[in-house]
Amino acid sequence: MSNCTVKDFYCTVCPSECPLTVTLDETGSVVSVAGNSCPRGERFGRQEATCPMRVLASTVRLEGAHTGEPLIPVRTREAIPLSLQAQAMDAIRKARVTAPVKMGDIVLANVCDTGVDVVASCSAR
Amino acid sequence: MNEITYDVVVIGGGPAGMAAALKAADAGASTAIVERNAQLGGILRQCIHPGFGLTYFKEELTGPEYAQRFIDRVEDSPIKVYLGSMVLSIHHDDESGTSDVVFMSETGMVTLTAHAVVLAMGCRERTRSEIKIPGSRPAGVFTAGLAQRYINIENLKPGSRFVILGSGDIGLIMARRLALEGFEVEGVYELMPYANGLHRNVKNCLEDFGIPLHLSTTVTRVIGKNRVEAVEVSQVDEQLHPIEGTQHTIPCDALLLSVGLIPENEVSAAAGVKLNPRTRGAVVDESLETTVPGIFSCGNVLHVHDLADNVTREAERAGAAAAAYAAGTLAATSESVPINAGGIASYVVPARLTRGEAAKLFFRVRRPVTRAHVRITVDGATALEGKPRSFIPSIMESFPLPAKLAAAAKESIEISVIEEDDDHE
Amino acid sequence: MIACDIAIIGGGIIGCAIARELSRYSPQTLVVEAANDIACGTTKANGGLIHSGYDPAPGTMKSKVNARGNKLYSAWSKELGFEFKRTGSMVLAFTQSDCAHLQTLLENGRANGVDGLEIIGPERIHELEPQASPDAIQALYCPHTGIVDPFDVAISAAENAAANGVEFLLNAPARSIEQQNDTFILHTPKGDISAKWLINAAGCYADVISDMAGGEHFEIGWRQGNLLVLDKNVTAKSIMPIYPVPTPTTKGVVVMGTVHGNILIGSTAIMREKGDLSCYAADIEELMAGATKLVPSLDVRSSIRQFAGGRAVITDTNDFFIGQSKLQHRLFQAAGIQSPGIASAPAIAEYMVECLRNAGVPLPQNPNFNPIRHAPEDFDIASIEHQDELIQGDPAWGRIVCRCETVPEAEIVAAIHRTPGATSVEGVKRRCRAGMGRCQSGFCQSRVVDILSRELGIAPARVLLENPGSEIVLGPVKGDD
Repeated sequence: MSNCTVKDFYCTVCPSECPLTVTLDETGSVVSVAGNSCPRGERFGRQEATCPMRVLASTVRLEGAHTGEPLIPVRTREAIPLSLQAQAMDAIRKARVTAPVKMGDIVLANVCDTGVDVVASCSAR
Repeated sequence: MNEITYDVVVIGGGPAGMAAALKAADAGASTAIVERNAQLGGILRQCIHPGFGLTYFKEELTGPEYAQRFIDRVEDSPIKVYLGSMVLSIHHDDESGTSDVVFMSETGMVTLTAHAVVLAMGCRERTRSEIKIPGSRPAGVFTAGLAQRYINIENLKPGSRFVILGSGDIGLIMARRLALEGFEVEGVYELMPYANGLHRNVKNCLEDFGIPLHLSTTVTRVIGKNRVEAVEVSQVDEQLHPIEGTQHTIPCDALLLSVGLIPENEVSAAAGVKLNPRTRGAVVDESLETTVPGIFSCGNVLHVHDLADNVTREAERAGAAAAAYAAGTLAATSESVPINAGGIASYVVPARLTRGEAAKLFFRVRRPVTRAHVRITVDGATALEGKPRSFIPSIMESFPLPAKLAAAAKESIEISVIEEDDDHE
Repeated sequence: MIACDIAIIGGGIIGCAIARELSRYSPQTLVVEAANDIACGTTKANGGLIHSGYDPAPGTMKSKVNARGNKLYSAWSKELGFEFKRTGSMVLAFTQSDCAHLQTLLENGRANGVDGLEIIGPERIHELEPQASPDAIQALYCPHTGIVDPFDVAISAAENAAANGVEFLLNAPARSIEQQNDTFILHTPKGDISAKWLINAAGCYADVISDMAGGEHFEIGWRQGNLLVLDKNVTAKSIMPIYPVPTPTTKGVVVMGTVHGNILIGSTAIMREKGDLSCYAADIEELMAGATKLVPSLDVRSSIRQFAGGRAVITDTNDFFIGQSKLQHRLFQAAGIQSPGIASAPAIAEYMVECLRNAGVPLPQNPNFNPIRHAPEDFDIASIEHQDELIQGDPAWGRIVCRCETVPEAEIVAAIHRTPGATSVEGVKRRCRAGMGRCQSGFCQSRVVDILSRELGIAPARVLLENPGSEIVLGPVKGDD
């Protein structure tokens, strides 16, 4: 086991925040996940230790809103790799939408070729 | 001036107010929401980050999405919504048992007569002055929520190089927002020897971006004549006093403060609602009724919550109770039994029983402990003990008070968190 | 070149009071202010106590104008429409030596023409102010002491002066002053100003101005003080101003209710570098300890604001210097106006006009002088019927901006368009209290920035907190490109 690496972190699947210990072998494959109290925690531990994924939230320039608000909040519909966040932010920074917008409308399709869309987080009239 | 009567008037259209109003309307009460902003949603509109809804909707939503789900429901309901309407006073009339809610709006001064009122005004942020940071008073010192509003709503940049004081959730979340939008975050400084926010936020907001968290350290001086030029930070001792000689100057042009939230109860106090000095929210009973009959309280105006999901659940109970009160079906109150917090529990909500009914007791601990248990004492005798586990102050804990104990209590109830020796392994 | 008869350098309470007094007469008067607003130097960081005049040593200039100024406040507040409450005050004595000091103050007071002073015992102390410390064995009670909002006074005087023809030039620090024949030429970034007579009311920079204008040389030091404001408490009533026994340089840490219903504790008194507006941990502790000694029940934790200011002190005399310069006869000094400057302001203005007249400055009556200035609408204290009327007249009265102090949008817009009007977030705050409350503008600052940007026709990134260089936001997060 001398070539194993151990990663300790908190599970973020639910508010219980179980402290997880994930062991990986020399090839980076997960050997074990401990500390979780549900199967979702185990899946999270495996993913987090190998390729952490995050929902990315930001804002996009909004035009023509009834309220005059200059921005609309957006999110990636699913989590995307943490390593792609900066690149996705570049795309979000350039995006524009025009009101009306409904919650869930696609603002940016398939961001950074992740297969995940960036969608509006609320509606704007 | 208009005068209109409702069964239930809810003050505040944030997550608490909307959930309370929806439950009250579901129960058949004619219901109104009075909201000071031009839109419903409250502070969630600027909380654009994910992490909401994990328990209530069993999925991860952003603040605006969480709010929008309730906004859509309110719009599909018979609830009357008064937007851009700021409540200035509440007058309870003992004789009629109703309360007059007076608000200002673009259409004029309006008085609503309510059979029951739900207070759901939320909270405000503690300021620099409340924690008395010495130094100059330049532009560039912001509460985290104000900076959040500038960045997420107004599209305005409150600085370019930030120091954040306080590791509460808002401070952590702002660290990530700033980093994502391309600003420099010099670090997060925390007076206590532990992080004050949820673990998920320390991990996703700081660790993901390599932002350092400095514990047992605080800002001891603001430097800069017109605009912040730097802040001085110092390490603190166990009594939280700055240690002379540990001062360190950090160049920056903005200082963000995430140093706590305070329920906004000025209107409630003026209406005669008794406040709990610990929570700075109303003293409520198991139905979330305050000391003024027919006035209920829920959400962050009652006590500062950790999660919006918990706000929603509490507000639903308040809305249902308010509707029942208005309909005359809420149980009559009897002798009030105080509920106190003990051990390392810093407060408990509700703070009294008036109907002898089962209740969920909400509390927080003063400091993190690895092994402790909850003890319920009724009239001085231990009645119930929980299993030992760890507790942290950032999580709002709860423990059920069973109907049998609630009915039996005569003098007082105490919920304590008892720390155990850490030598069990 | 801007030409005037009389230029007043400094738009603090003294400059504004003199300007208002001079507006009774016809000379063309110009107030030249270095900052972007009036009343934002020593005037701004002041408790607002209208001391009665028992404190200054008899024979000093302070003793001459303090008691008179206090008397004038009743008429002044009526004419100028600012809030003034004659609350009375007590100086508490805790020891026998304190009691001896009360006797000295009483005698001072009598010599200065302050009547009605009384030395009272614990029972009467408690009756007058139940919150006063039960440990006090005696007190000097003075019925004349009052309270004001100091910038409200200065702004009221300035507005009335402006309505009567006085001009105000802001952002115009005097860089140098030339003396040509019978005129002064002031060089400022806003252009050159010619004036036949000069009044030096430049606060802590009056020494520099006097030197520039060929007047007496004196040094002005900065006796700095920290102050602390407590939240309005909806259940507790206001507190009568309570002083400790004074020291030679300061009246000590005073506890007082303000005209707006807050409680104010101030101030410390330490000589510091000129212009230092920092708060210090040691000062804050001194304030809390001093206040708790006078009023033990005070919840000093409910502080919503600490701030600092400086008193402009002529270091060798510790007295006011008011009158015609002996070296330059066309220069008139109103220098070293430290405490009790606010209380003395109306009398200083009166005395200054007398000095001008005695020096032969022609002062024909201004036939259009109107002494009355009406206070702007204050939504927070209006009756509900009047609130409704305001909103029916303009819906902007119904749009809340500052919720702690109940300030609607229309009140802020009015503050910006008054003359002289607010040009910064702090200027708005001084005029209508938006941002003055317990959240310290956490909720309303972005809205006030938005309103200032719209009303002044400037980008939000150019809106100032206070002085140039105090921009609040730096530009858009996501640009237009």
